[in-house]
Amino acid sequence: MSKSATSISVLTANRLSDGAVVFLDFDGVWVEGLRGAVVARSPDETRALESRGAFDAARNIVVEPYLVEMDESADGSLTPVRFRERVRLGGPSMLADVPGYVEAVPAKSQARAEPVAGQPVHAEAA
Amino acid sequence: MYRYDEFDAEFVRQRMAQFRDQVERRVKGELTEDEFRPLRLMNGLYLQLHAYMLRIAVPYGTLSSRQMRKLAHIARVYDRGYGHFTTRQNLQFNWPALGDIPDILAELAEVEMHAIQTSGNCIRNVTADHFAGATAEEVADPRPYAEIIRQWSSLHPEFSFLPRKFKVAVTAAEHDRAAIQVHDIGLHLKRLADGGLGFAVWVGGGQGRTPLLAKKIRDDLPEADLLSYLEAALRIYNLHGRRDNKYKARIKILVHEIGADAFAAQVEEEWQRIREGALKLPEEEIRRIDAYFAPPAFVAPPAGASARSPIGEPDPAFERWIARNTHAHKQRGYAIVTISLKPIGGVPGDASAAQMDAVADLAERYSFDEVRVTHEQNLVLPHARLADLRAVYDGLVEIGLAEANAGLVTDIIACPGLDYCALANARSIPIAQRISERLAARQDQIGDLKIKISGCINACGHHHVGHIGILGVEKRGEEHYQLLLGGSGAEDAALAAITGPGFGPAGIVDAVEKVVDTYLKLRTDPQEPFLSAYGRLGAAPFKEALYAAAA
Repeated sequence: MSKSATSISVLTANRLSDGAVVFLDFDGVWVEGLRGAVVARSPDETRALESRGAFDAARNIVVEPYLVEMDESADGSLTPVRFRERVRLGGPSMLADVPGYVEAVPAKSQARAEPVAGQPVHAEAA
Repeated sequence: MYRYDEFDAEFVRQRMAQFRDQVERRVKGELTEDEFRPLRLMNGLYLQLHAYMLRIAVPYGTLSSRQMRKLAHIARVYDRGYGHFTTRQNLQFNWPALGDIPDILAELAEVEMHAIQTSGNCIRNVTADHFAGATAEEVADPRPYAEIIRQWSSLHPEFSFLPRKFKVAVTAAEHDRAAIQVHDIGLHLKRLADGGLGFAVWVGGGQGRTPLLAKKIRDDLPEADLLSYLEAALRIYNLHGRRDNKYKARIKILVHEIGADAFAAQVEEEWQRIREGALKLPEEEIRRIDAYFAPPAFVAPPAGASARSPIGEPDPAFERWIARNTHAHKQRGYAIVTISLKPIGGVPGDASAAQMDAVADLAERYSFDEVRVTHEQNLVLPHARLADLRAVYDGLVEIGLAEANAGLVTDIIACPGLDYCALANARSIPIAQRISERLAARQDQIGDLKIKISGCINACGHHHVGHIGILGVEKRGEEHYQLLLGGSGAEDAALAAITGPGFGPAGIVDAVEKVVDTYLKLRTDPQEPFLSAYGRLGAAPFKEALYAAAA
């Protein structure tokens, strides 16, 4: 689609502890959502992001990091190019129709969630 | 129902302890993802699009009330309040945290359940006719044989690293509700010429990117030889199945490439070598397992017993439900009840914790404590008294599961699709929801019609055997859907054919409606089912309706 010289990307992965979709932000923290995500705009920046992903996967903070190609609007907001990545970012599209669905992270896992060594505490906040 | 003996219990306990240790080492960073992945998959733990997913085995689709309540409890305490019943009679939780998995498995073990061999290249959970032990159509209950296969295949050292996954289904009825012709091995329990029980053995069926129907390689396998014959068949597959290419690794490709006759000959040779060995099933062992599945203590009904109350106003909704969602039972005075997990516009196969608890209560009170999971993503109360059907129905109305649509156009199979699955290319569930909403008002008029939707080529939503099949693909980064017609997963198994160019997410719903309208216009009478009409008319009038205007 917009696979061109202007192609930009962000680094995503799944968090080890709960599999949640996370993105690398400017502070080097893996967070849910695109707010503050580091954007790679050149081959050098892309390579840097890739190696950061591999490093954090090796440190067992995240699983299966990869780059997601993004479209950038005039106001700077980012939208994944592929529909797959849009669903991955937004979550299941029909949760409102799931019987009994509760939004909150289950109490059990929340109680157990502890900061990973070397990671700022707020990276674990849901 | 089958109860764990000390070997089963110890085996599950050991595996649980092992996996608890592995999870702890993973969380501490002592195991890398590459090291951990095969270990978690062996225990049914996937990493999906948004979270981990735990797939729990429901052997041959049979659950007790206690087990169902445990699933509800896990949904509530460890997950997000619901579970998803799958096309392999299993249950999936979509949001478990890694650190909770050992506790979840410990909870499951309390009720004799686990997630072992629900993933990986091994023999998966054996599925069976969901009306087993209740329908008059079968020669005997097929589940004892499914249990025997479960015991033989659990941690079978030779078959734990097959070229690819391996799925076995068993039925004992002529009307095939277990889709045996699209399994790696399908077993049809039947009465043999000598009066004993035995099997027709079908091999090499499957869907995925290369859909193939199974070939019958044996029609008269005595029950005593079940395991030795399966062992021989698996051994030939394990030796010759392709390990160089994941997409050509299923047994269907081997059978297709060398031919069913050649495959059967090799199995026969190996079987003759091992037939009289340790795997010969002693009569008393078969009967011992049989005893676990003994029919419940049915009570003879009073003369003239009926589901309908002799007094009071007629209730058309209840009558519709009786007509669609109950099935003849082998025992006079009883019925088999299908609990539809397909409310109009709902998510196929999903049930909330409250619904699971309520179904468990209904099963305990009205169905001898037994629930079944169907590969069509519904639940079944196998043994309900006719006199209790009103109470069952009222109970289902209370929890929103009384839709009278079993086998109708809104009773749609859909894989989790792109809403959950890391492999998917397109969403399945919302397409099912929109089709359900669109056609609900006319579903009784349309009659029997099976729609099956997969979000990718792996075909977990069985689109190849849908009367109407839908396959989601990715086209230039967006969702796109191919339409297929004329498939069947029953005894008249057939693979559906693609109609032509695909459709966008809105267009596919319109396309399905056009197919349905064409069928309604061209059927000889309301008794001619869609599949018969399609067989008589061919694809041409449907393609005309779908594409003529655009051409």
